Amino acid sequence: MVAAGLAWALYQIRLAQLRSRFRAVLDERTRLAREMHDTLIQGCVGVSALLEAQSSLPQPADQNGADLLDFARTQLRSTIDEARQAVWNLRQNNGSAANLGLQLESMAGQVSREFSVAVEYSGTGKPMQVDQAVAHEVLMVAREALHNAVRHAHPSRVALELSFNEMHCQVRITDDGSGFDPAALTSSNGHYGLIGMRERVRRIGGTFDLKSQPGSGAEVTIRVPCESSAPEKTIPEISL
Amino acid sequence: MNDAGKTKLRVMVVDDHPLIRVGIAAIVNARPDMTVVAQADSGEDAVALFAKHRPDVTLMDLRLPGNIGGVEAIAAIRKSAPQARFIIVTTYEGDEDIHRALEAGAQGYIIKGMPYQVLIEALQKVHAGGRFLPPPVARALASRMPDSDLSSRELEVLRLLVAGRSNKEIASDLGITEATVKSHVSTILARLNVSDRTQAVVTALQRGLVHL
Repeated sequence: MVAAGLAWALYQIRLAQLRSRFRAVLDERTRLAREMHDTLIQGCVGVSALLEAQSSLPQPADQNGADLLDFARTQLRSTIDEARQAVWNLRQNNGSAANLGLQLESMAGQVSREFSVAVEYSGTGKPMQVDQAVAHEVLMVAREALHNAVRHAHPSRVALELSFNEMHCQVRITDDGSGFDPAALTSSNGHYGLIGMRERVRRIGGTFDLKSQPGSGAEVTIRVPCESSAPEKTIPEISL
Repeated sequence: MNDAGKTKLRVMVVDDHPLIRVGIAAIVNARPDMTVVAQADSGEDAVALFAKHRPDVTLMDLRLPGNIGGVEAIAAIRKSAPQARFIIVTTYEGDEDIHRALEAGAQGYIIKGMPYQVLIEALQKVHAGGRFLPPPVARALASRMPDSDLSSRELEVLRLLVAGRSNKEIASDLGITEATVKSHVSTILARLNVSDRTQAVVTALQRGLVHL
């Protein structure tokens, strides 16, 4: 009887410890969420409002200035979007290839509806593990490439393809729109954006390839290495 | 004598963030067909300035200092001016926030950080008598599930969950039994379509059911 009583007491103590740990993590998370919102997001939207105001004024003849301003506006908007997502993202530490496919498919549908352009998603090859941070970057770059295609190229059809082999995970965005000469990109029509995308993919150890010709659409290929075997999950994140 | 017969669209801006007011006022005033007639940084000021200036459209933030937020300010203004038109301009993207704002009488809802053209279009559409809900806002609204509304008691419990209270503490806070609290929590998890308390907290904050 005493042993049972002791076991029960220990159990209650353990439970109380878990609860207070849970509460501490939850408190920290909500504190972080509030701070992110109040400082980072609030600050960014304030600056964004000023940039938008500047952009809405009649522009002087300086094309470079106008281009830099446009680039600043779009980059700031992406930053705000990503900060918003990061606030709520309960990312686990293992990457999940299945998620990338689902997210790309969902993105294809969203863009399709928003811009009234057919965006067809397809996935081939056996899904491999991709690091979560890498998968996130791939998603962001694919989204930018997709937006570029539907906004600037006026395509009738866009294909978003995810494919795997043992070594790599590849996302390809192909459109049948107006195309362009990559070498002739100026700051006014995507030069900065392209540099940004290339850099992001390079940082996660991948490659970014762009093929296009005026009049014959464009093809963007993002390729990243995938993990050859699923890593052992160590400490699972507190099931928050 | 200019623009014979053309009256400018008269706009009031309500936001406690100075940069937002500056930015929005600059965008609106740069247009020949629009003008900012008043700026307010609280719900109370908004109500007072509306009565004084009678703008055609009011751009209203949801989160305001003081005792009344954007939704309450809209409701207060509409009591004496039911024809008043409002566009919410906010960082809140939750479907519950959107729903509450539209229920209170707003005709438009914009998320901050938008390109200036979106603001102009919203003002023109709402002034002309229509609604303005850009795709992300419309999507969030469309994702609302029927039968997922929480009762006011459940909302109280949810607020305490967000504050990190345990079932026992919630029971004591509300003067009910722990068993009742557990039952409420079960219902909340089901209605919010989540599998545990933490997800319930995140969902509540994301959707705007509870604010920090």
